[in-house]
Amino acid sequence: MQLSRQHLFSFWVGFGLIGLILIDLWPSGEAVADYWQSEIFLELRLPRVLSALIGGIALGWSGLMMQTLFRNPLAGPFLIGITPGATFGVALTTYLGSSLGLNETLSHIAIQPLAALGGAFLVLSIQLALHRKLSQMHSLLLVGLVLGYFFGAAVDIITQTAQAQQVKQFVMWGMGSFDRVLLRELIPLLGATIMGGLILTYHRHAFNTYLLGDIHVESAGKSAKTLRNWLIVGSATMAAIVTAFCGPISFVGLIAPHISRKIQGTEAHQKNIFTTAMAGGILTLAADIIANNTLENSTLPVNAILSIIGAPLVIWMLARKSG
Amino acid sequence: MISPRASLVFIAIFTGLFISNGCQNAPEKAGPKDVVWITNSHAQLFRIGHSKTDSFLEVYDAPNSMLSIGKFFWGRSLKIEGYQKIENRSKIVSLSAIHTGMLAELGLAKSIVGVESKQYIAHPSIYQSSALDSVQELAPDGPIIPEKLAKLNPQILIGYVFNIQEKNTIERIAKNHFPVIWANNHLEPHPLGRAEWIVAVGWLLGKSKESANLFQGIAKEYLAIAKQAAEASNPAQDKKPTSESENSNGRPTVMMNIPYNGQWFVPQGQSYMSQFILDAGGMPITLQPKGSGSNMVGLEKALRAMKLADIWINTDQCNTRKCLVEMDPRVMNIKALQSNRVFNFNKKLNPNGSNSYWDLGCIFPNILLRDLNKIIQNDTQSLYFYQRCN
Repeated sequence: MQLSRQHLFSFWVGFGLIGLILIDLWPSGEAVADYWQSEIFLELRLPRVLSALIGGIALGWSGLMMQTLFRNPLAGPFLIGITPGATFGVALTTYLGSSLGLNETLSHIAIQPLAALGGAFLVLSIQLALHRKLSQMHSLLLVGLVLGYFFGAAVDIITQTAQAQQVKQFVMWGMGSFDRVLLRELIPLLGATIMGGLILTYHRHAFNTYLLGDIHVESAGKSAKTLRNWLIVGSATMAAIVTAFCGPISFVGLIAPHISRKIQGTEAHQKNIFTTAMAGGILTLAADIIANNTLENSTLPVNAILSIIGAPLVIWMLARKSG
Repeated sequence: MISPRASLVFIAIFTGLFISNGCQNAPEKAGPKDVVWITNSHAQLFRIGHSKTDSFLEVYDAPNSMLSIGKFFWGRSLKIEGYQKIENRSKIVSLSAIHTGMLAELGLAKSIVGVESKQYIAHPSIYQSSALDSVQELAPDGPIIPEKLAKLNPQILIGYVFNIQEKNTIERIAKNHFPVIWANNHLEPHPLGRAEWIVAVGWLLGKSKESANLFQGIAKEYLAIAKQAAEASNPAQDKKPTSESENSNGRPTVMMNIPYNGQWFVPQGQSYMSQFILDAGGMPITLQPKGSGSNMVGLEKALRAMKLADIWINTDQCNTRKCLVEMDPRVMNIKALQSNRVFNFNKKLNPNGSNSYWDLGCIFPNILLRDLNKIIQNDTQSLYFYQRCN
């Protein structure tokens, strides 16, 4: 009985995701002749919808891996400080790019993601170094918060000395958008997501053991350190690449694994990989649809929409848990 | 838990505060009696009036607003209730490059003792002058430095409200020391409205006649070009900006700005730039015919409207078509880019890095309009502010 209920939920989540993809892809606004073959669809709508879908899946998985890594259900790319770290990397390349004479295309496709990755790994390394010394779970989140403030302040200082156009560029990036992603940029986005998905799938049983504690991992004949490294590489890469291409996208990494666990009724990774991806995709696609269709003549920032959806959802989930 | 009674008390307090605040912001009554107020030709954020003994300036917070954010007078009266007297005018702080430019045009460059940052000064008579060395920079890298302003102790400060904290800081320092004129001419929707502020600046500094004459010359040329452009394109008088990217009644369609990370700021139909384009004989591409701001839209919405644009202007940091395509390759098929009709406002860059477009273009909208008219007429030989992006 329990199993069929979960299957039914999974089916509806999958159905909802496909529905949202179709809604987001469906022609809107003024009619365009041969829409499905048009430039509007192929170069603008399709990359936007695909980046929202892939970004949502990647952030969901990244959140799931981070919550496993820190054995903390409140861990997520934002709270742990990975997104602020990646933002710092992007800010550096945005502001230093023109001074260093970097090519715009090269900067978009390679340097910005690498800088975001650098920032993300830096934060995660600091977190892990402290993780061994700080035993309390909430200390970890506090460190994440403090790191977020630190990198935020560093970005503010860089912004203060930047030129107006660079500030504009960075502010627009900071609002989060799937509109800016080009078809060719989907390749690194998809690559990072597939890599993260493979790590999750391959080590799914080991990650279940990891949740119980290092001692259980060692007793099962596996290395906790190796598992930790896989979790770091997977979660940081996915979060950093999405941040580099789409801007900081909040709450998805935190909420998607929770929704999945609620549906599956278990923490077992093999059950949550698929539903976390679906939940992440649903959140970002829904935000993209709202962003592009709420106002006729304007586009709302995706990050703001996700925060408005995400904040009450997290509070509700925490209240239910404590209740 | 808050009791229902306590909740009611809170609601009553907040309602009281809201009402009292509303009363403070209620439209104000007309100025002193026996004052003849002069009707501006286009500016909506200030008015100048004269009585037998005194002259008055009132500054407003927004177009068509009755909320005054500054009332000043000069003349024979020692004190007039609600008005601040302008007495000395030889030490001026100007926090906007546009007002600094206006001061220079009125021959008052030497009176300037402080500016926001020397980097933004584009008026040649100031940045080429040796007098600039003695001018203090009050906000070279960000917010204003209060100590510097207090030490400088000017006789008049002309600025614009950039943020409320900075406004409060300046007003605290200025209190009982010097008058502060918040000249928010950037909020004027019409190009001639912005330019007309030179009359207010002239009034403040005792150059009323000169500034009025200067503005009349500017307005006369502007209106002549606009009339000529209107006759050339033979439009209906009540024509509104279009959201279609096809030519409308023979007027070339003009798109503006560039995308920033997939987002495009498209000016609204009654905005400053849209007005310029209409007056120059073009049809601005907008997404909203009403409103003087701009719409932030995603690339799909923007390109749907702009794909068939005849002309593309104000490409910001991009001075070549290659740069635009590198920024986002999806702009490649825009008609204006294909037909090489892309223009940027960067022809008058000064050695200090400033761009004359931002201040001289505002003070002399007639020159800017002439440029735009030429671009629309496809006569691009002797542009002043603009140049073609090759």
